[in-house]
Amino acid sequence: MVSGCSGPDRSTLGRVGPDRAATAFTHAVASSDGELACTLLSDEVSSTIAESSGMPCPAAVLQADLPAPSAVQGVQRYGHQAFVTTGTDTVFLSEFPGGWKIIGVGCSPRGEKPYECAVSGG
Amino acid sequence: MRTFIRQNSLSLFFGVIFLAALVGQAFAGHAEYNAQLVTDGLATVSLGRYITSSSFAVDVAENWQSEYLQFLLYILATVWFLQRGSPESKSLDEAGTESDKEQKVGRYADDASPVAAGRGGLPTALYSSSLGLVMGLIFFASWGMQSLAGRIAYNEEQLAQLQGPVSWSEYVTSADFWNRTLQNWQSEFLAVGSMAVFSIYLRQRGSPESKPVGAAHTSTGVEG
Repeated sequence: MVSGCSGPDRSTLGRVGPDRAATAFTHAVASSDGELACTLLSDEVSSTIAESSGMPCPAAVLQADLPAPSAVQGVQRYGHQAFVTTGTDTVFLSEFPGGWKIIGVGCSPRGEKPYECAVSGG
Repeated sequence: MRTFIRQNSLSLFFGVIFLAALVGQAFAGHAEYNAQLVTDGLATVSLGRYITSSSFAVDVAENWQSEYLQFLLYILATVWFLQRGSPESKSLDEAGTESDKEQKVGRYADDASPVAAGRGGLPTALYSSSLGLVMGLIFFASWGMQSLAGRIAYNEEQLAQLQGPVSWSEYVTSADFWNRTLQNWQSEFLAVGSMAVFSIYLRQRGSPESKPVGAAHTSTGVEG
């Protein structure tokens, strides 16, 4: 059972900050709510994981190798992009008309190269 | 009104074309910014959001800082450095800050002189360097703005590409900051140097930036 803060109400997801969007996603995956998790991904990312897995996004996202939820340790926001670090993960988000959406999650640094993410677009 | 416009036409002209160019830059920059966002699969922004963004701010600031640096260096360099035959240079025997009498400061100030010129002491010293000081202040302020806005714009691009953000100290030692800075500096220094040399041999009748058309190539520090 996941302890700590629960995610925000679905109806308010469009108005939460990047840190709450990131934690809402990780809690959704941990509680096997693929539908909610996919609403927190950008359209490109949800399309990419569906195409690459051959499954609908809600099923595909639950198959991804993502770390367990943990508390947010840092949030950096630059323009319409955000960088959220937790105890177990690094999440990249971008601001869309519908709110903050994840463009990369389950990410690990690779020096000067882009992060390698378990779930991302492109 | 007509007299005002005529007597201030130089500043009015450049003021108008500056604003026109800034507005044009806003539209062109907005289109380029959104094109990149579409490529990255991200949401586009309105013109209003763009002109209040760090991306627009750094593009403006990097140009402003180099222009004011150009003028700062030009103002200071022409005090001591000479260019034989150029109207941009003082006469070959006038290098340096010149005498109080030549500069009409202190007891040599007349009724038409600015008040600070005749006051003496610190007020006169500051006023005597006020042009360079203001150019220098604007240069450092806009270069500082370039560093702050540039870091935010750079990190926004980094995150869009799933790359980590950098601190301010990392940014001001980064290739992005120095590429933006030096590409502007080289063009400014080239322009001023070109002007100093071209004006030795070329003429523009009626312009104070040129020697008189019939002036000798060797005549230095004369205006048309």
